[in-house]
Amino acid sequence: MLSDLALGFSVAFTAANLGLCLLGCLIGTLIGVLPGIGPIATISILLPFTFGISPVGAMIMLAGIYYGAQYGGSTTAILVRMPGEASSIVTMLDGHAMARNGRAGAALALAALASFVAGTIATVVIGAFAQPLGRLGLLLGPEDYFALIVLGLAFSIVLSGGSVLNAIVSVLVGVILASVGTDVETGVQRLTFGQRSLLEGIGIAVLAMGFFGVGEILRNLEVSDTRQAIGAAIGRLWPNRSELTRSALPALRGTALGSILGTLPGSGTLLAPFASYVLEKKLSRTPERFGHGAPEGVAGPEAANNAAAQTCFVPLMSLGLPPNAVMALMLGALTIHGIVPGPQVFTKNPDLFWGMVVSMWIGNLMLLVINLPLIGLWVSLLRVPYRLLYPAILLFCCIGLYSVNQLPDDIYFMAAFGVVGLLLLKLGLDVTPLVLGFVLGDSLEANFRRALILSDGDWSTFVRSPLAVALLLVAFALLAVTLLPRARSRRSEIFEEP
Amino acid sequence: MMRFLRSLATLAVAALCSANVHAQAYPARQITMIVPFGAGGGTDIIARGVSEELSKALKQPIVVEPRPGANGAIGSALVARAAPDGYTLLFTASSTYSLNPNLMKDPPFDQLKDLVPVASIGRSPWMLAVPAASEFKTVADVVAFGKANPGKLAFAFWQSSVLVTGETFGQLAGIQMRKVPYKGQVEATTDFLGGRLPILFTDTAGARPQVDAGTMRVLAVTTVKRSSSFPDVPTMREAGLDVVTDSMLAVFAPAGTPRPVLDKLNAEISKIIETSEPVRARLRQLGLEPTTMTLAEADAFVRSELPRWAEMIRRAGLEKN
Repeated sequence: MLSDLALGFSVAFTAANLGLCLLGCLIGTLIGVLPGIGPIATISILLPFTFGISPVGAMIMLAGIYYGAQYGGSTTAILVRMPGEASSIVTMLDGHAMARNGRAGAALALAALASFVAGTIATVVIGAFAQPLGRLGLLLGPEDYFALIVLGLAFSIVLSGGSVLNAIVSVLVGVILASVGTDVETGVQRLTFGQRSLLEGIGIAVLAMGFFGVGEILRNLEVSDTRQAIGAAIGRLWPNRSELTRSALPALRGTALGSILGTLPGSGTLLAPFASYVLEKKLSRTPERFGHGAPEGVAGPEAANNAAAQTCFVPLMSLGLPPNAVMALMLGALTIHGIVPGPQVFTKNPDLFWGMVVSMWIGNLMLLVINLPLIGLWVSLLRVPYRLLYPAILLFCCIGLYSVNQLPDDIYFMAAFGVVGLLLLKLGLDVTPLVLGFVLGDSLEANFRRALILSDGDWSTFVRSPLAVALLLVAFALLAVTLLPRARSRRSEIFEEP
Repeated sequence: MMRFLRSLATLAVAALCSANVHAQAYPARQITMIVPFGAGGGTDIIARGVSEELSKALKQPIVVEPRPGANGAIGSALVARAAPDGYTLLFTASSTYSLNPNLMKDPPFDQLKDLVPVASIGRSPWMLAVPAASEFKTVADVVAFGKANPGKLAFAFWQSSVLVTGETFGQLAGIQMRKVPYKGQVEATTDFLGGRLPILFTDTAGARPQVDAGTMRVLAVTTVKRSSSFPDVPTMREAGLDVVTDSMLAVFAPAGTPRPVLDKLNAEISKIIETSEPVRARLRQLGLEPTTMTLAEADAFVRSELPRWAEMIRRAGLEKN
């Protein structure tokens, strides 16, 4: 492995590749910060521009965009409660609470540091275990994925504040919203009400930006003085000792969770931060602080998110099977360069594989260097008066969203979701389970259907796989415990939201 | 990001001067090439290769956008309702233009009225593949197993031409198979390699890396002639089954696109397919026979494919839904 790493360093440390890595990280940070534009759109647009450079350089730059976006997405989530990427929704929960407590700088620094630690460890994990990790995805069948997603949704119910019933309804509404559009199997239109713009379903950007971005702005229109309080209390930019020590172990556990979940096809990268958040809340002796600015709630999920963003390259490189849409684009990029990812990549193109692994670590270092000095600048954004900041955010949301599909309807839907988000907030309903239900609803249905077809309609398929049984049991146990009266009273004191 | 900047720029330009927009010749700006199947799949990869050359020839950037779902109907509908200005094109396979109109009760658009063919790219077969360790060595083995175990075999589909290939095969071989929906070939290949699918109908692009890696064996191809990239693999006809379900990749534009635009696109794309060695090499590497047509030939071809597939779909006993 040492000689492999040496090869990797020799490839990654050329001026051209270092420059491409930096360029990718910068672009990634930028699109992560800007709402609406995600890595998928960016990479598809930039793909043609990579044809002229070496395959290693192209992959290094595209990979930089991907994990740079994960970094950048957290920034807006923490500062203005607007998740730049779907994966930063969890970071938002405690990150923004920290910002409200005057700890915006600390939250940003913790997010960057936890991501860096996770990125470093994940790089080693990929280097050491790429081949066995790649097989993990093949071992799981649709019934296992179904169970995994059910567990994820159960987590989000347990996690959310307010009544359990509300959370369950919230998840179900999310799943129903995910089913809007043309059905993959039959081509039947579901819940489109004859609207052409709903044929493809509702975009996650539309939903998240409406609920969180616009909803948050609407809510703040009522309370004009809160912001001044944040502005005054910015104080120290860096995390203090207690925040750092509280965050160390959660970051490591998050890294472990993320490294494993990242290799699973479909929703692994999205589940990782949620799983880490739940784990930390369960392990904490003072879980009541979660949701009110607990540094563990930032460090754990950020680490999990970044580790997953890196290990999701493993199935792509080792099997030629991309676990998510961004990785699928990477596969396309490699194929265009005449490289066929698969088990032979390690022997046929070792320079590509190890060069990328090493460049991931360099990229994480660059992101840390880019992001830490910027924290002061980001935080000073909070001093911008609301009357200027909010119209600017709205404008960016609209332009960003319109640039994705060029559909004015997307903007209307975002506005509508903003109003709905405000209403739900007024009613004391937590929208986080809804968003998770929405994000996972698609794979939930697809895997459920697939498992039943593969078993010829035999429902026992869900209890024949030991993994599926274990996951489903944990999910039901979580829900049962939450619904029990004693636990319920304890839960309300633990999970109460502001 | 580029598009974001572009939108900003467009806003600025629109605000500053709204006069001299129509004066320029086609193409004056970026072209979007929609691929109605998953990113990284065979169609997507070829679309990117052709678009790269086309972009050089037209001196404008071309963005390839995968819009998968509903057997390609989602991405196709997007182009069908796009402005007929030559800036939104569809790079697709037979399943969207020959099959979907025959399979959907309420198609979101009319293939012959809403879209016009621009150019053809190449022909490719579907291949019947099994895992390397499978007990099936020939098509006859699969058929024998299927006859002895009705309903035991399951095949994956992610577009309707795979579905019709599977159903036609089952029908002609007299075996019953279950069909499992997937969003794309990659997902299906994952489950196939994970040992959850005994057989897989795959395109040559998807088969190549797995065959090279020794994880997949190909038992038959569905073209009339053997594939030049898999010369040892017999055709379905050689194996005694009349399954001919090759797919022609083609480019479409929204109906009403000006004739000069169509002529220019057809000429440039056909020139690329006939002369660009990198594109021809990639087509062959992915198992496609490069094929070009004039606008009139392409139109006649699409019109003749519709009834041919209608007949196969009828024989396979598929219902519209």
